[in-house]
Amino acid sequence: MFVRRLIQPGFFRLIGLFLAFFTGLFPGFFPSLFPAGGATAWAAPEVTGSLGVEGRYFPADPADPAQQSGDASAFADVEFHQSTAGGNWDLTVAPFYRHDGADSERTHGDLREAFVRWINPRVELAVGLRRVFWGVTESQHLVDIINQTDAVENPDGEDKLGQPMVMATIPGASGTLDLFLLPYFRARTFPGPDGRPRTPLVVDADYALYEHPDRRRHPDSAVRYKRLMGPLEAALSYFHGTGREPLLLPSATCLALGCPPGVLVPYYQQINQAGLEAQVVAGDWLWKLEAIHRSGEIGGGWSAWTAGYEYTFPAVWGTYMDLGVLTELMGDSRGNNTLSTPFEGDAMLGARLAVNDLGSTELLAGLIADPDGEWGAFAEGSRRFGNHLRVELEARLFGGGTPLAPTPFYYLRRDDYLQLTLTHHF
Amino acid sequence: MHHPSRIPAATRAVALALLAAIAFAPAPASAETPEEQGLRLAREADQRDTGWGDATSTLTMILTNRHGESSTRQVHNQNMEVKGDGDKALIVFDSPADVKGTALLSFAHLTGSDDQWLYLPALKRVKRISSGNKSGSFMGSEFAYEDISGDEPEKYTHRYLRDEALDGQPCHVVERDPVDPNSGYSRQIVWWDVEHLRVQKVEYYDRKGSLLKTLTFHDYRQYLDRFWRAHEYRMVNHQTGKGTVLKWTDYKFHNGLTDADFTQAALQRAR
Repeated sequence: MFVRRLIQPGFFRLIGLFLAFFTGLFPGFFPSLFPAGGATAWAAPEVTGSLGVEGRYFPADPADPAQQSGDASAFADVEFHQSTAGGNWDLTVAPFYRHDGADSERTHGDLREAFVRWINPRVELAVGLRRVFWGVTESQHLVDIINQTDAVENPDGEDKLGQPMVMATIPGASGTLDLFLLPYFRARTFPGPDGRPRTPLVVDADYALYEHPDRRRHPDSAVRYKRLMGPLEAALSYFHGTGREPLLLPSATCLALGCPPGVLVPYYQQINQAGLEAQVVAGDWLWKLEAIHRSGEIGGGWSAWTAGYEYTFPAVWGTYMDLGVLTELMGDSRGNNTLSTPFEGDAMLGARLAVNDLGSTELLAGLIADPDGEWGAFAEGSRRFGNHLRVELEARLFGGGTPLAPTPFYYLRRDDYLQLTLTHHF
Repeated sequence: MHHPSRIPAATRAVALALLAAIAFAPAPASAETPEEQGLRLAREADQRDTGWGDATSTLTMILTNRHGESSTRQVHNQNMEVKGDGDKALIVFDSPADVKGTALLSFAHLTGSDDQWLYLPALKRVKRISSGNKSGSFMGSEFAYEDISGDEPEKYTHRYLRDEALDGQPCHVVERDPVDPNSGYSRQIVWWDVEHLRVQKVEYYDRKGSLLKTLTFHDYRQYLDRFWRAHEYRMVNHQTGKGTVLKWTDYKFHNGLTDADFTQAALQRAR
């Protein structure tokens, strides 16, 4: 198996890049690592974050009697930050914890970030757990692959687990190069038997199968080059390693391997993913494209893309409200039959209204649908009361598909919900 | 209230002779059209504020609605002059707490749209902003993006109107019309004080030509023995009754900022 890892060309190239980088450049910076003054002066530490409570209400009867019609939870999201007086070094530690009244899998903690960074005009180096976002589109984030999704938090997939990494950012005259070594894999979180929304069969997140014998210790690697060319911004990326999206196997297929019965088991495969991001700004228009090609998965290579625009009407109706509308189209070479994604040939329509009042009131709504009738919709509204409290109301609806032709959203059809969140920011 | 008849005859004769000399002189300075005079004043004001290099400052915004309720926001800024183009700016939000850490990177351009990026710390995401949005509100205040993104003479066509005293201070009054069709204004009237060509007041007229807002500048202090900075801006919206006061503190010049301090990487680590 060691041989198999060695012959993976992407990984080998990246290790080479890292070696060249450290041996070639690092010694040159060494003197500045140890300033002549001796002890390094630290600036005052900074603590920010939020504490909140959240309630969810599911109007429809649950698919599984184990599930409830309501859920209450409380969370803490804190960030500690300290930098040296000159700003050359900094330390960030950001723990997160949620206690959930209904779902023991959603009661969880994570170190969203815990990293040390060294900042120099020629390179920025970070070691530790971090979150990194790649992408330009809103409906789905195809290219974004560094961090695992914290899927118990919200079905929108925007919440991510902290990823252990060594990251180097090298700014250049023509663009910025990011290099990543990801030595440890974070498995996706999944709702437990009491959790909603979830698949009809529970995904046993405590048990996972890996294609690679090193399992979570397989060192993944990634590179991204981003360039700004006037109104056009483009990025190319490549990832090699353990795919973040698992294949969900009925455990009956792996009982011989020790899988627990009656559940779905995540299977993480070794993949290569090439990604493209492009964005053009033209007046009030923003045009966006994301595309990926992924290889290494069972069933062979595939490609997918998202393309669309965002248009802003500033100061609508003679007020200070800004209205943004967006349309995105999605395509996937795996075709309409795949259960791997709800977004195989969809269109998204969305609107965002920023009221620009004292409470920074915002409204956001979107609808995603495909020609087969599968659809999902959401609406979010939030405003601030006073200086520290923000109140947010969110609704999510899922629909489409039939028992004989199920779709990913078909399985969530009874899990439409309304969510109220009160967050105290400090 | 000098009456002509009180001026001695000799003085009158000299004055008449001078007038005659001016009237018949070839291409005299006074042949400057109001447009040329307005542009000259704008360029002179711009020239006097050239060469400051870079600066950092803290800005407190006090937003007041028509009921007198107010809300305070604070940001800190770093700015850098760019030769032959608009300035670069990085703005980091300190309060309210729910937007703390949000940051805006802006490259102003003399002509065309500015480049702007917003960093959203909760998502670790840098988002490009379509910047045709000049007339949109800055942070929910009565200031539009275009009100705070620089007064480069290239952004307007100018016309000198008159000289008049403003609060006892002699001022040049110039009308300027935005060149950009995306501007939210049909015209602006600017008062520059005669002594230092510092902007003292701006009236903003909406697209229909009605007076929309008045901005006044207060508490000017001089830095580096040369550059004047107002430490308080007061904007009143006449149509909504809302107002915004901007208070600037902690101005520091010559911080050694470079282009590397105004990149997307710098935006992501700004705090």
